[in-house]
Amino acid sequence: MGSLLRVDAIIFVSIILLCIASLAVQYSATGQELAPLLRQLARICFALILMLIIASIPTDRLCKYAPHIFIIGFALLILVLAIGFVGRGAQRWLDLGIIRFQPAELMKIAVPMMIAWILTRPPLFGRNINFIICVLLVAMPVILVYLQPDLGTSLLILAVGFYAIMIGGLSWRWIVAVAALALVAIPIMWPFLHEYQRLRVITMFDPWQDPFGSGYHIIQSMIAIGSGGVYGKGWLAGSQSQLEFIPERSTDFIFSVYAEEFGLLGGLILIFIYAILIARCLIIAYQCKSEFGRIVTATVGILIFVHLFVNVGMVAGILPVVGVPLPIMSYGGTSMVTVLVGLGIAMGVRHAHH
Amino acid sequence: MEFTNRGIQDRETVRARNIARGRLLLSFAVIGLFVLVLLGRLVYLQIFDYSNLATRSSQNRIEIVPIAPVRGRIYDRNGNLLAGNRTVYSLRIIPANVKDLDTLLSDISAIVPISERERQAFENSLRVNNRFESHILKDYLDDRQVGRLAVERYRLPGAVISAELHRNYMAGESLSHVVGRVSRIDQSDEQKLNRSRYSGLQYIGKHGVESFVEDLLVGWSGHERVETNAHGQKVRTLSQVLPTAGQNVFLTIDRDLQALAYEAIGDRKGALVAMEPATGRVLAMVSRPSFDPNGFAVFSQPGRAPELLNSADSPLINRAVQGIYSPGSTIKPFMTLAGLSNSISNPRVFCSGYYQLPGVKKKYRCWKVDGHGWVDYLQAIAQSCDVFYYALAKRLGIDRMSVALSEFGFGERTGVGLHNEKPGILPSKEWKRKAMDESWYRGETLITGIGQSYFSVTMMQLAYATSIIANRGEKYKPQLIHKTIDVNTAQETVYEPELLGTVDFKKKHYESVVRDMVEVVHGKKGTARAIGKNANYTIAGKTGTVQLIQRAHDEEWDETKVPQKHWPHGIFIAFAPADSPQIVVAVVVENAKSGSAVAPIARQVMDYYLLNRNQRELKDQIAHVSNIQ
Repeated sequence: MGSLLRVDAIIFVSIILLCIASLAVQYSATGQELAPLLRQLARICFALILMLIIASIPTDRLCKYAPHIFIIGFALLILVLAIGFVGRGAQRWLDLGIIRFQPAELMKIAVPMMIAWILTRPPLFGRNINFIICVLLVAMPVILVYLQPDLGTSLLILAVGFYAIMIGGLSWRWIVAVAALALVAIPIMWPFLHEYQRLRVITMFDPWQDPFGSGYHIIQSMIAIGSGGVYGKGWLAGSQSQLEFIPERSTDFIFSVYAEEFGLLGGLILIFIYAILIARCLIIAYQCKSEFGRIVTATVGILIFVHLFVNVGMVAGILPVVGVPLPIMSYGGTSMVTVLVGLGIAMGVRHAHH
Repeated sequence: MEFTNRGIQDRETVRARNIARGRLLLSFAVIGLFVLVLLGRLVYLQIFDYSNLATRSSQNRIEIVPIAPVRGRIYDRNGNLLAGNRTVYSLRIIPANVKDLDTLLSDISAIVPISERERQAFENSLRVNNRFESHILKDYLDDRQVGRLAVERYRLPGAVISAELHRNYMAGESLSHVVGRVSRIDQSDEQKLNRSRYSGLQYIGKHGVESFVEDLLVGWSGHERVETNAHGQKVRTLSQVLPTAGQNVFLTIDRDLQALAYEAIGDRKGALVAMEPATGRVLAMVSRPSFDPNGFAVFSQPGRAPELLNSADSPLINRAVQGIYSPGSTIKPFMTLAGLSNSISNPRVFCSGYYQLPGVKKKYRCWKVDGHGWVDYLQAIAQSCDVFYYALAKRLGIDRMSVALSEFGFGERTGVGLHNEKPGILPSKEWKRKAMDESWYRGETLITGIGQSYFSVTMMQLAYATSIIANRGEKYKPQLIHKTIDVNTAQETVYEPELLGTVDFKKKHYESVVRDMVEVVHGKKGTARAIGKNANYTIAGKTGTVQLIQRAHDEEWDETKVPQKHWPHGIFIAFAPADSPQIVVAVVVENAKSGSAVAPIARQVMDYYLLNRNQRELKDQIAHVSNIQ
């Protein structure tokens, strides 16, 4: 039994707690409708089963197939882009009939796995060349996702890819150089951003400049969170969410609904659960003896952290509005599947060393 | 078991593992730092900025919406509605709920025509106001337009039909001056009025009774706190303070009598006041020309206001209280009382056609060029002999005259209950010194005695003064309000007649002057004998003819040579029945040539009131009896 269901109790309990919180807030945010709730429950079950399956796959087998997964993901990205080009519009989805699938999401896991795969074998052309190959392997999907255009996800892939390289032992000189490059790139990239993207950044610095225009959503979200106070307005009693002042209540702005109804205490508890998940991943990575498992697990932790930070930072008005969901909490299956698959890998990695 | 036993091939060096562990620890620290930033932000929003954001949250959702009170209605004494309220529908747009404004506007104009002016006004309003509020696009939708818009509403998101109560005057032009009208609340009103009382109201009484009893009519505004969602739609009412409706006001006016008097004056300029002498209640108050009272309540319809304001006929003036006329010979009964009360008991004067002051060449002429011969009080009133009253005025002197005449209220407002009532002028030495800084001349005493010189009165004053004679001295304050009914409590407040005092002359003097006035109507030589011929009741009256231009003594009165605007005004005062008066009438018609010419108007009014009313009451009694049976 224990060998088949390789479950990490801490991760599993945390996920279940988040799922319960998610369903409770979804119920409030969707205007107390049952149908979307049941669909979300189905997604949760699907993602949990997928997680348990992934957890049971030996890590070295995952390592073996990492390049295949990466190449398939990369091909799908090109396909999505091609369809989007033909259809003249933003394209992120592959419609597979029953489920719609976002290849970019797959890359959040596939890129770190690919990096880990490369770094775990002896370098063909020396260490430095090896890292340059890694950078290229990160950069290519990042550019493709950016072209979709999906700035948020492309930056996320960039972040986790770079983090994977860092854990893989990139020297500090390179890390500092990349960081410096990134700082320089911001003003250079600025004119290449879409108008709406620039506006979002400007809005972040002063949403009150245009309270009924670009600042409206972020102001309403901040009002929701702040008016929740310490104890919150109570479940189903958040006026900002119930009266539809908060945009995208069940997806990107789910945390605003939660914070309005459950207050600072609820917010602390939620962030604490996420912190446990993140810490658990980092601890597993720390104890892990295999380099592949260590890099991938640490990256899963960072993936959850970046999602958490960017999403909560956005709804709380300290980051620009980018479409990054809050893993497990937000309505929809894509990011949940990604995160649970990652956590499944982490469970498998942990089990391999006990 | 199978999977774990197989194990993982470990290729890493200790060095790589140590580097990774170091960086993992660093990640820990950095993540911890960032999580602290998030927590710090939450603490800031939810604790330090809590009161600000909580207030904003309430402001977001809670709106205070005033509920305008229903303005009290105005009825006549018999309960006929004179001023009511009607619902006016307008089409409004809430821009925040509109997807594409141009499409919406073109969709709407396919259903109801939108003029360029309406579109301009809408766009102006859009520019200055919040897009979550509603902006008026078209006012005064008719029933068909409301119906068509209501049917098509599902495909017009952002368009709403709002209903508003507007004042509606149903008595027509005859009552425009008395009932008055409401107008938009302007800036000067806003400074004066109680804001919470008027919140949600757009109109205020500006003229006539509407203005005078504004305080009774307006009621109190209420309000409700409503929760609205992000789209500005009302979700529910949190609390409500209901408005208090204004009181219904019943006038002393008889609508039908008023209409009859209005018709009787015809298409001429003039005024008429009829009242009950025993109570002071005004039965009719007419001023011609008049105007359509509904033209004013409607602001966006091209009103007639400028045309009315600039008209030479001054239709906006209420001639009954604002029109000042020389009383002319109608002052003579009051002069007689002044003489009798000053012990000039039965003078006889020879009228040779003119009167001269001793030592002065100027001739003061009687209207009858050949003279009346020997006249006493009776004949002097009946035939309206001027010379007699020159002589009487000279004997009395201006001081005694003005004291006696002031007893009848000349020179001061009656306080009937209309703003802008004019006091007229009762000439006296003191008045002339104050008004003109000049001393009094003897000759002026004479012409004051026949109601000329500076003397001026309103028909309201004349009716009031006449009612004092009819009452044999009792002064009842003229009033327009009969009663009010508070619709909230169903409480009725009756405005009782108010006895102001008594003009304390001898009863026999009153009887004597009433006899003289009856002679005017029923005597063989009476100036108003034409209306006395077939009357079923006794009328006491007095004619007055007010010359507007001086004529030389020997000049013949030739109608064709004098423009109509210079023809004399005709005035007539009367009450009936003479021994127990029920109605007093004072009427003036401008350029009517003589008082005798306007006397039939008074007769018509009195006939209607005394004869038809009795018949009505008889019918009511019969109906009552038959009901009992």
